[in-house]
Amino acid sequence: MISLFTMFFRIGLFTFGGGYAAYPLILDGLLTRGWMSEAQFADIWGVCNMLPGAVAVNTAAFVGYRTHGVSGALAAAFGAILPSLSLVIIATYFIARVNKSRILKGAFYGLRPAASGLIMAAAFRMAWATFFPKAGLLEFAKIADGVSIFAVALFAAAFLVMLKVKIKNKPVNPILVIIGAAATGIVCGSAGLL
Amino acid sequence: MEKIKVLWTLYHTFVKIGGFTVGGGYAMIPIIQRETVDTHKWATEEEMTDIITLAQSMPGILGINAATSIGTKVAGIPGAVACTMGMVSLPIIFVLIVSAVFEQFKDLTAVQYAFAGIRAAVAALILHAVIRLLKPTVKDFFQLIIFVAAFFLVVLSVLPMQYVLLICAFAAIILSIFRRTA
Repeated sequence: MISLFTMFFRIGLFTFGGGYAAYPLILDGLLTRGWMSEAQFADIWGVCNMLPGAVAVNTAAFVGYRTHGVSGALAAAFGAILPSLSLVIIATYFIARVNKSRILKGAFYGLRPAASGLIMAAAFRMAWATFFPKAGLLEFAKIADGVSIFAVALFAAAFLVMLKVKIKNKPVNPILVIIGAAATGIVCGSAGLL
Repeated sequence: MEKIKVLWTLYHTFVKIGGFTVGGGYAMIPIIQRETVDTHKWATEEEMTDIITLAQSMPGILGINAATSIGTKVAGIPGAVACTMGMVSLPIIFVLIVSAVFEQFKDLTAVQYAFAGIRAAVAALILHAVIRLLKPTVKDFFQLIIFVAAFFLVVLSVLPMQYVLLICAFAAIILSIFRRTA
């Protein structure tokens, strides 16, 4: 339980650039502790995206519940919010100075692209795992053993919808994409195409 | 008594905002703005801009950080706790209900098929999130190097992620000090 709290505390401290930045960090923590597989975690992330609230905190509570019950859910969720809660309180008292601190500015200058790189790595690993279910990460020799055409097609379709389709001038809500993908999965699975 | 009343108002205002906004982050900002500036007059439009800038520059979730900052401004540390708890109360309850139900249904064949679809879509959503982040986070050559280096260090599992982040932060601090003096 303490391990759960400290894991999410550290994740809360290092999550820059919105909820998706937490994805690679939580995944890494779960894999090193052997609490969950990559696919199990992706399922939870998908579900938490559809619930109200911040996806990172939701996922923390969900993961905590799955590994340690209700108290685990609370420990994980509060672990995830505590760092930003304390830092924001301090920063609010010194609101003018934060924008002027050279060291803080410098740190953010490097942290922002690094966070993007980590998210990119998570997307790569997730895509690899769904495209080539029989090959481990970067096992190029085993790619030929099986490519999931269903996953490749659905990935491409979902990405294009997010990138190109606009409803009332706004990008499509990710929830719609997840619901659409779930429905496609049920239809293709029942038709024996998976 | 007066203080408890203020805290309660803060709490239930942010319960409403946090419990009924799906999508998190940027989707919450207009609603927070309306409640804080127009309805309760806890901050002026200008102060609200400062609060959003601050919320963006801190780690964590934009919407929750903004709530924490408004709470601090109105009622100090108790206010910050009231707003933050408000933001997460309902979502945590929803998650507990869903995760309890999830256990019962996850082995059904139809649910398995649905998740095969969801996994592919989640990979695409994450990639799309990166594409959107590239413009504000990778603005020059140094940041491009950091982005590429962080990607490869993690994909090839050279270093744990938190070390990657720390190294990138230090490199950037050192570089920005050199740039000032040069």
